[in-house]
Amino acid sequence: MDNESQSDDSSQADKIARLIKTLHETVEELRQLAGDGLDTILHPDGALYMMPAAQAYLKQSERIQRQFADERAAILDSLPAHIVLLDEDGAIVAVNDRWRSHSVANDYSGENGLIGQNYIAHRSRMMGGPSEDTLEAERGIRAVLGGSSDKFTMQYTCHTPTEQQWFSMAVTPVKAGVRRGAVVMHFDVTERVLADERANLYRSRLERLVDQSIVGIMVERDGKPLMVNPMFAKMLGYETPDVILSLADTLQLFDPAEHERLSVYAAERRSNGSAPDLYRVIGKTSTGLPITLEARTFVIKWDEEDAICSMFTDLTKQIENEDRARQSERLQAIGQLTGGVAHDFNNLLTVVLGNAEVLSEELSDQPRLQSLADTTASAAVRGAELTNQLLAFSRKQPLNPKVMDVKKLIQEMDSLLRRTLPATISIEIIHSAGLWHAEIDSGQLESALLNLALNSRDAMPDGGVLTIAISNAVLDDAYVGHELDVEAGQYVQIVVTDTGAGIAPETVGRIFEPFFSTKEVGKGTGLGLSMVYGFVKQSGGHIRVYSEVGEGTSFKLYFPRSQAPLKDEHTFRIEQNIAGGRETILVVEDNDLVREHVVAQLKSFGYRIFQASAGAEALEILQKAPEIDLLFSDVVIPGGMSGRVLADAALRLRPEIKVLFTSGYTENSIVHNGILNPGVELLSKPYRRAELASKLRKVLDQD
Amino acid sequence: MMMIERTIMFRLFVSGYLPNSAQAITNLKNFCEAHPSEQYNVDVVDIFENPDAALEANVFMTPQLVVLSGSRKHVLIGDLSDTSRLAQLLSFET
Repeated sequence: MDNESQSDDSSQADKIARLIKTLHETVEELRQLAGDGLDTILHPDGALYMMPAAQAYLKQSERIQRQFADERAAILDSLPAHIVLLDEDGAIVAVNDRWRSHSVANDYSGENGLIGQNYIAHRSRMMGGPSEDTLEAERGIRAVLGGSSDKFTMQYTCHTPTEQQWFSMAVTPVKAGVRRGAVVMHFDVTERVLADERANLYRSRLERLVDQSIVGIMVERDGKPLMVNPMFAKMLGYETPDVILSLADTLQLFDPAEHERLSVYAAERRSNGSAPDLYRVIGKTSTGLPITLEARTFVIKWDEEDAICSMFTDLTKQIENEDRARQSERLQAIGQLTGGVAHDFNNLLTVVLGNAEVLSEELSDQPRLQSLADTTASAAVRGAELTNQLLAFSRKQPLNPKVMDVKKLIQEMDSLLRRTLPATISIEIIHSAGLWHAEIDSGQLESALLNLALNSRDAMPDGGVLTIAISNAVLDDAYVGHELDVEAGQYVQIVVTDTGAGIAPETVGRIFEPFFSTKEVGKGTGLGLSMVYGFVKQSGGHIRVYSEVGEGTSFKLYFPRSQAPLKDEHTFRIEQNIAGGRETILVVEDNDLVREHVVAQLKSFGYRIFQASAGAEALEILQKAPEIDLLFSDVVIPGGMSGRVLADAALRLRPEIKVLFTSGYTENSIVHNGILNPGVELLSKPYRRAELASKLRKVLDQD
Repeated sequence: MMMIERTIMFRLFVSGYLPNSAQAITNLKNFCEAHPSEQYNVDVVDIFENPDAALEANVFMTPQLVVLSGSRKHVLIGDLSDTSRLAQLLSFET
């Protein structure tokens, strides 16, 4: 400050001080005239003077107003919402911090938070123009602004440049003095919505898991079903779980005794938890049939209280499979046993038959004794037939399969079947076109079909219809899935159906067992179906039987399709007149009785004979005697060298030598899966004299 | 002139919600309610909003009540706490 101006200001200050004094005295005078009740004084030129008390009041109330405003702003800013205040036209008059930063973040416009702009128009623009949602929001906001609604809320989603967000909007009316408007609060509910979505996803997955589970699930408390999944309903034959859920008790779902047991389990589970958690239980289907279930049970919290949850698996199929496996194992065991017995019998029958035939020839001048020898021979033949059926069942018979037209064979059997079956039974043979071929031993197939036809005949004493249907069948994995002994693939299917008495369910499982017969004693051997079974299995096929008591029985035979071409069939017929020869034969047979018998027979045919009881001995003879034309050997000979090995050695020594095998039991080195190796000649024991003679000639005459 | 048909016209000049003005409005309202046998026409003029009306009526301070009763006109200055003055004024008239 400089000195000059100081002197100017001092005179002004004095003047002002005087005026203030005058002003104060004037105010005091006014106050005395009008009392303390005055607020303002008005000058005719429009100037307005406020009394000191009024001024103090205004200052105070301004301060309070400011404080209110600050507090209001602080409250608005602290609310977890984007808030805008609208006037009655929907223009934004005030906003809170969150709205402001939200607008900045979303680049709405500047930092003033769109104050002055119309909120409804802005919202519609931001939401991408008019849509069901924006129109609904607009209607709602206008209703609040117009006073016809107290509150409007809605949830909506919007895509920011970086993410999708969900907001819940609440619009409520406000009244400021005479001015109307509304406050709009936007709460960010993205977290909650995402959590809800996750929860929904999780819940829907769980629901699917339960609904589509292949395990039956039931939750119950005190016997009252609380939750049942569709599979459990399905297992018990109910269309939906609703019926089960409407039950007051599970009594209807289980066999009564089983229900009792489950109640005991439940009680034990409650008291000490000692009930089993894995057990079998017999359920009862909607039609009252029993069903074996495997149950896994545990205690579960259900609506805050303990309940019992059980998961059920239907064991019906598994038990069936187990039964079938057991049955198949049993048949196999019986097969091994009978196969062994049959082999020994065949050796014995060879001797009996051979000797009987020799006797019969020798006794041609003594007819009485000759007939005894013939009876012995025919009994031995009958015995051989039986042992052959046993061998067939045990799948140890030598098969000679050829690619064949099944239809042709069956058509050729027509007359045989008509002769065999009485006239009261009509025979129908049905076949589809384009039938595949199969590699089957035709003679055995004929026997098998004849056996089935005879069974059907016995099942239809009063007549009926026997149908043989031939068709192609493709068994897929789905069908094969639960069958133990079947492979998927293409098959020729032969179905033999009768309209007879049918087979009772309790016997149907045993019909393939040898010596199992429902016929009167002496009427059947019980080997017919055993032979059919063994033959089909040995041929790589399988057999199924379907029967309804009183309706009939259907046997389905499946043989694998063969892609090989058909061969011309040379039917080989045993020459009835015995043709001998002058060649030299080496007989190898360990059974002395059999060997002596064979040697005698061969000599009677005119052949020259060497004989050996073991492989090594036979080889020695082969080396010493170059004149041997044919090696006739049993397949199984002692001394560590099988007939096959012996034959191989002989062929190396003498490549031009002929070989004929014989066996009563052909599961060995020359037989692979019971089927003769091509080119190997085999004479099955027991054989008739004529068969021996003609087979020898056939082999000797080969080039 | 019939008493029953008389309508008393009150014109109260105030300055917004300043304390004496607010008190005057309250006191006038109470007075009217305390004397229900009369008919009143009350007009409150806020000079902050309508200063011209005050100047036209030669009103130079607030609160100020202008009473028109028949052809007579009376003026009362202040917050009207002393209602006896107003009563006296009106009863004098009757």
